[in-house]
Amino acid sequence: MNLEMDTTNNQAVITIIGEISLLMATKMKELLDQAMKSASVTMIQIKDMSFVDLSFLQLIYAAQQKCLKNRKRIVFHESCVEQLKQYVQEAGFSHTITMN
Amino acid sequence: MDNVSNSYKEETYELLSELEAALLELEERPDDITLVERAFRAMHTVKGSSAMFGFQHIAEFTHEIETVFDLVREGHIPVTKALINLTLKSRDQIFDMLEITGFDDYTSEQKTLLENFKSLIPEDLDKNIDDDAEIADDIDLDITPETIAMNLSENPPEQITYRIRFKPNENLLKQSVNPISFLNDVRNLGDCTVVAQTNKIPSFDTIDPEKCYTFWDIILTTSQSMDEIHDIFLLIDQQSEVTVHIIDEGELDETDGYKRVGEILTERHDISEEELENVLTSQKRIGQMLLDQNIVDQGIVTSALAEQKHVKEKRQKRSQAVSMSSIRVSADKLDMLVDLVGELVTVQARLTQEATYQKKPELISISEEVERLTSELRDNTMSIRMLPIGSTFNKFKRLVRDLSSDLGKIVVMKTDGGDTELDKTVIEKLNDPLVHIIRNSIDHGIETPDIREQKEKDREGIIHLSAIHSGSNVLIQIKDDGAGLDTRKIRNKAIERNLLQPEEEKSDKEIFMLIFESGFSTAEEISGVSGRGVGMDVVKKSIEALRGSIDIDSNLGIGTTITLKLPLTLAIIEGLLVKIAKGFFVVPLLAIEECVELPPETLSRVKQQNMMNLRDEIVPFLNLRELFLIEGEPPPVEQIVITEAKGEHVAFGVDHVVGQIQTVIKSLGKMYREVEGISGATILGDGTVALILDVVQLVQTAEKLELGRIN
Repeated sequence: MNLEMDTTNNQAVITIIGEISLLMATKMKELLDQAMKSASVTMIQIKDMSFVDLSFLQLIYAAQQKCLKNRKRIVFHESCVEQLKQYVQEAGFSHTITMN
Repeated sequence: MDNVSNSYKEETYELLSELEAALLELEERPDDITLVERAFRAMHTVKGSSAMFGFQHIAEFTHEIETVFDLVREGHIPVTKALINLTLKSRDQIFDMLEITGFDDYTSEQKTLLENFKSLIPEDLDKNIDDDAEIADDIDLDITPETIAMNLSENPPEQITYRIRFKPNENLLKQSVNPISFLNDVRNLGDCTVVAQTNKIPSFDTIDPEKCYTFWDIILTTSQSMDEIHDIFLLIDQQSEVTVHIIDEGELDETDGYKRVGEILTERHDISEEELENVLTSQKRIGQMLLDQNIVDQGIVTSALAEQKHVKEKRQKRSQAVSMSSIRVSADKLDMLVDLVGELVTVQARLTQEATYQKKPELISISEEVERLTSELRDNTMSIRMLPIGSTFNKFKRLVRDLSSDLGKIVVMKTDGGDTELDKTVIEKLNDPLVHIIRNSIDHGIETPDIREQKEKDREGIIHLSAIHSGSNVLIQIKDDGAGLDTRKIRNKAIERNLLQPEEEKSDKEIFMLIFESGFSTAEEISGVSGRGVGMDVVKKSIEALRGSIDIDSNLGIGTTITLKLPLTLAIIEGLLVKIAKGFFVVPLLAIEECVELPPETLSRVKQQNMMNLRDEIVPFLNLRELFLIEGEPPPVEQIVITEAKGEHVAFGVDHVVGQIQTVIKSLGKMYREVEGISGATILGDGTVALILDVVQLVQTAEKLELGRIN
């Protein structure tokens, strides 16, 4: 699965390569959970993004809500922000997901 | 024919012009998909409205072409010269079909064209298209006559705004269905605002990432029906919920705003009337208040605000569109309006004169106010009749294309100043002269590609059409980079035709002007296009009939430029009011060079010789008193108006020059229409009729009289 996490200096980086589908939803939740526990800032980097599933957007929303309570942050790598914004907008999530 | 059919035909003629323009541009830029779309849209509308009005044969004919262009749009068929040729020919056939009443069968040419179009469709696509066509035809048949009239208007189809709430089944994602794809399908129907409702998404610790917790509020403005929207969700499972409501029917409201957020929320049952009432008692904004009291979450308020913003914007745009919209008025009604304004101008002039005569300050004040309003009304009315000449220019692109192709030449037409406005009547009457000039330029002016290459010119010849304002006139220039006029050839031909004596000295300009003489042509071969010498003299007469003038300049081997000078309008004339005995005459200002006064002894000699010396130039003199057989003695000091007619100066003797006048032209009655030298009449402030002189015709009449005397 093209999904991995690396933690350094209180920042966790989750790297996803390619399509973000339902197949990786459970694994994604696990990684987000670990990342939020281990670091105050979680950076998500998506390489070769071709599709973003609703499950991912729901997870990010829920994770950002949790971060908000715990004074933590989830941010996106600048290389994927613009494209991700497009998916977020298409899904009508612009008002709920914070994009950096 | 009834009004609706007339408006159908008018609109179809316009659409065919649009189609022609798009095709000609597409020929130049075959990769430009927007031009394919433009041509397709024109055809589609012709097809639709033809079917609605019972011109089924036109609808079916157009359908075949439209089908091919649909495949062009999708990239299955390339844009080629052959396709453009076929489509242009078909466009002409549709034009012809509109002209004839009654229909039995397509002509053999039309049948061949249809076959040619069918043969362009790749076999593997043929069947699918037939199926689609049947569906499309079924839809067309459902349209009522009321819809027809609406569709024919210039307004776009009615736009309705819907509120859609899409609540997918919780397990939709597990069924491998992506709900976002439905949102994208809805988006394709029109202008859309989508707000995801996330309040049902559990906390991160309890969320099942494979479940769908989100639902959506979608505000869609579209011309599609509610059924079209439901069709998108047709295949979704029974557990998912889709509700569609019309929230704005596209009609003009007294207000251009929309409901308040509270109204939207109660209407959608997101809050109760009671809850709304409770929060309204506080001072905060309704959305914030609802959030503060945890009645709704942020998503709900956001979607209500989005709905409010969406519909408000649509209504405002609609309101602006209505205020900016135009209406179609028949030319007859406009002509009548111009006539009435003309009458008003006359009455106003009388009022001004009477007020001045009576010297009553109050009456003078009223008359000045009426004069100001009349002047504004006249200018506005005249401006309504003004049309940009660009549409006429565009018509010639096809002429240039077809004619140059027939003659084996490559000619490109360039235009400038297409937005220059001229009176509708001038534009209509300008068409034929311009056709003659352009045909001549292509036939005699522009050389074949090989000859041009030998002369080190581009293989492609250029005809440049331009229009520019010059005072109260418009200058239209037709310039080609062809062979230019050969003064030697013109001179020889003129001598051969007794238009010039061998020993007669003429400037190049005077020689060029000979091509406007009746029956003059230097073409060695008579072609189907030109060469018979019929045309350029007609061109000159037509331009002069429009109170305009024509000028020509040419350089051998480089090209020819023909300049037409035309008045902005035919309804009003700028003239010089002159008096002979008790009669008033108006000399068009366009023809006047200057006014001079001669001492009595010189004048007497001029009258005897019918000639005068104007700064060493011998100018023919016409005594209008004599020409019009006006009795009585002239005043001791007479005035002379120097005009330009047929490229030469001519002097007219009058009793008095009253002054410059701008006046409305009235046409003469049947009895006086044939009177030579008079082109119309006008009514002066005191009700007196003044005759408008046709300078060119007067000179011709005088020449005839002179010849009669000599013989």
